[in-house]
Amino acid sequence: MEETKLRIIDHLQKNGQAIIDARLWLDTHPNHLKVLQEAQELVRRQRLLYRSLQQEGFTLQNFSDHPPSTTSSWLFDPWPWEMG
Amino acid sequence: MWIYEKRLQYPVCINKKDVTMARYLITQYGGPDGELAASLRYMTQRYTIEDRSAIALLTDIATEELAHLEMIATMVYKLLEDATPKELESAGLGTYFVDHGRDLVYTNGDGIPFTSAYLASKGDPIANLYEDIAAEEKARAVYEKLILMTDDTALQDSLRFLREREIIHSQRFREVLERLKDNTTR
Ligand SMILES: [Fe+2]
Repeated sequence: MEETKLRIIDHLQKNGQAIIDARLWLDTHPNHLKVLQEAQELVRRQRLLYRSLQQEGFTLQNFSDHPPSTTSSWLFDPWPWEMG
Repeated sequence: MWIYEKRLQYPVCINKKDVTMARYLITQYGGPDGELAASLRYMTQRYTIEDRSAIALLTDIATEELAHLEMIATMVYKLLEDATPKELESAGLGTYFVDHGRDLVYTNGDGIPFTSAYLASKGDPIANLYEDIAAEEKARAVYEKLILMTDDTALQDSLRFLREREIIHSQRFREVLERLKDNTTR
């Protein structure tokens, strides 16, 4: 897979991990406003990353909030176990 | 319902062909302290626990464990991908290969099939949360041993990530448990 796509996926992974951590923390600390605000910012950033990956023609989520850029992307771009 | 993302939660790289390691790893796929057991355990405890924090946490951790399951599957798949039947046999996977080929099967390292008995559900919030914490600690202990069983630094890195996640999960479950215990007169 091309350099640009891999770089975006790497950012997505790191940012996504921060979102998971914030989500679990907020499950047990629901009134922690500071973390909630941080999480909102992380999610905003994640959306931008999704969009740039889609512009590169890689479909991360099939038909979740936007149709895939090409129908062949979901089928033919590598699955997680086909990468690396 | 669930939404699937076509990526791993954390990258999995395999630098070294090691069939024996695949056999050790498969216990985290379908063994008693594996990721399938973890996900299904939390998923099924959600319905009766009542505490809002606990329901949310069980849902979110159950979901994350599925992403871990996919990481383990990727490790096993990659380790078995190029192995010859003879190599599989010498790693103790001869019977596995004859029965299942290279399909991933939910078993422990000795081929014992997954059972819902692993979930050990008790219908009691305190007992279930103790079970959940123990499950996370047992999974952490397994990952520590798995890290010792390979000298592939890339694989160790992914296993270290999974180990750290178990610590976070254990911590979050403890927070819920302590609060529930404070609210219960015992
Ligand atoms: Fe876990």
